[in-house]
Formats: sequence, C-alpha cells, structure tokens
Amino acid sequence: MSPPIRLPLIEEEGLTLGPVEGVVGRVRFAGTGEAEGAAVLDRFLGLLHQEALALELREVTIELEQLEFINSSCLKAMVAWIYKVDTEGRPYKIRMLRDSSLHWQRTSLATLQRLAPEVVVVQEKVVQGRVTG
Amino acid sequence: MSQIAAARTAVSFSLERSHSLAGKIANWLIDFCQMTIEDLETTSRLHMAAHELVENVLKYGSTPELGLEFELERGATESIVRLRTRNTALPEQLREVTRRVSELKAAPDPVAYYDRLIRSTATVMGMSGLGLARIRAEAGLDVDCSVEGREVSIVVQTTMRSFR
Repeated sequence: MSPPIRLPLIEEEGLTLGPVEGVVGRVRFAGTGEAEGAAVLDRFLGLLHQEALALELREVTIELEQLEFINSSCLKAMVAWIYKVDTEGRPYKIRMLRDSSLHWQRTSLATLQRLAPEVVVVQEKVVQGRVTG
Repeated sequence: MSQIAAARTAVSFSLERSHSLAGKIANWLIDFCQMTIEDLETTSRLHMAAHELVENVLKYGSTPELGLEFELERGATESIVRLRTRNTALPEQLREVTRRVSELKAAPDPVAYYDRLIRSTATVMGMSGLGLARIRAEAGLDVDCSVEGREVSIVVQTTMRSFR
C-alpha cells in the first residue's frame, strides 16, 4: 500500500487546501477562491502533482463540496494542472466530488471534464450512503 | 409579446479599487439581488458574473474608482436583470476588452468558444482571460460593452419570468 500523500494543509487567501487524513490520494478544498487565491491553488496543485507522480498514484480525488466558489483565475489554475496531466501521458485520473446544489460546480466541473474527458471524472457527493444531486 | 420596464429597481456603488471591499460589495449586491428577484438559480448565475466583473475591473482599471450596479426591470410577464461595471482603462485595454466582447457576441456557440479559449490559454501564465467567456458560457448571461472616452462599461444581463 502506498504511503499517504505528504501534502501540507494550506489556509491562505480564503482557501483551505489539504490532504484528507488516512485516505491515500485524496484532498479536500474549502472556502472561496478569488484572484488572490489563484497562486495558492496553483502552488498546491503543483505539490499534489509531484506527490501523485512520486507515489505512482492511479487516481487523485478532490473533495470540492465545501468549496463555495472560485473565480476564473482559480479555475485557470485547475485548467493548467488538468491540461498538464492530460498532455503528459495521463499518469493518473482526477476524480472530483461535487455538490451539485452549487451552480458554479455544475457548470465549471463540466467545463473541466470537457477539457480532458479521459482524465477528469466528476461525481456527486455521497451523503449517508446515498448519492445526491 | 413580453412587456418590460413596468417597474425598475436599481442600486449602484462607486467605490475605491480594493479587492476586499469590492468582493464584499459584490456579495452584498448578490444578497440584495436574491431578496429582490427571489430566484436562486438566476442569483447563482449573477453571483458568478459579479465576481468575474469585479475581478476584471480590479485588474484592468486605471483609476482608483470603479462603479458597480444592479438593475431589475420588472415587466408583467418577464423581467430583465442586469449587472454593470464602469471603470477607466488604458487605450490598449479598451481595445482589448472591445475585441473580446465582439468575439464573444459573434460566437455562434458560446460554450464551444469558451472551450477553445480554455484550451488555447491552458499553458499561458498570468491573466486567465476567461472571465467574460465564463459569464457567457457558464452563467448563460448576455455580455456587452460600450466605451466612452476612456471609460468602459460592461453589462451582463438575462431575462427571467416575472414573479408576483
């Protein structure tokens, strides 16, 4: 079994980004990402990518349910990361767990999936054993 | 035929170019919008637009002030909700925003245009350049702009069914 991703917990510029304890290859994003958050997100995704390659992960899961909103600067950071994974051999898949009651998650995650349909998997959050959305 | 402009509600701000202040005003404006139109879906779309517009003004504005406005024109069967930003900018930025909006308006499929833009700028560092296209494609709002002197006004709007 691979060791868990060794990522820091980052709380900056309205964003909280960090690993989910005890679950390999799973991270959680929360808060709101405005323009100032783009560099923070970009840095975290760079670390996540390095760790995923180092651990030879086949999938990375991002819990997004508590991410209330991101603007296009933060979305751009996610685009750059996904594009890199998609065009550099697709070493791992990216599973995004969304809350479809948030309008931006319905539309923006669909956008990211269209960018790299072989890499990005979008899934509804699971609450008490049921799928929502 | 729809009847528009039977009643008008509007609120506008002129404020300093401050990220934290503009973000708070945008949030307040969206809360006001939610109270006014009582339509969560439309409010969510306007929320996305407000934050993208404010970010644009903060990035590209060349003077310390910016204007932000919400407007509702309520008709018997349909209403128009509109967000507008105003700011001054350098001539090259005025030309650039005019070009972007013209391209966006001319695109027959806003989502396909947005997808192409995302792909073509995926490796470009710095400015996202995606905000207005996102408003059109993801929030489903019409986008327009006008330039007068050195001032640019960007307007996004949608039509919704009127409520009682």
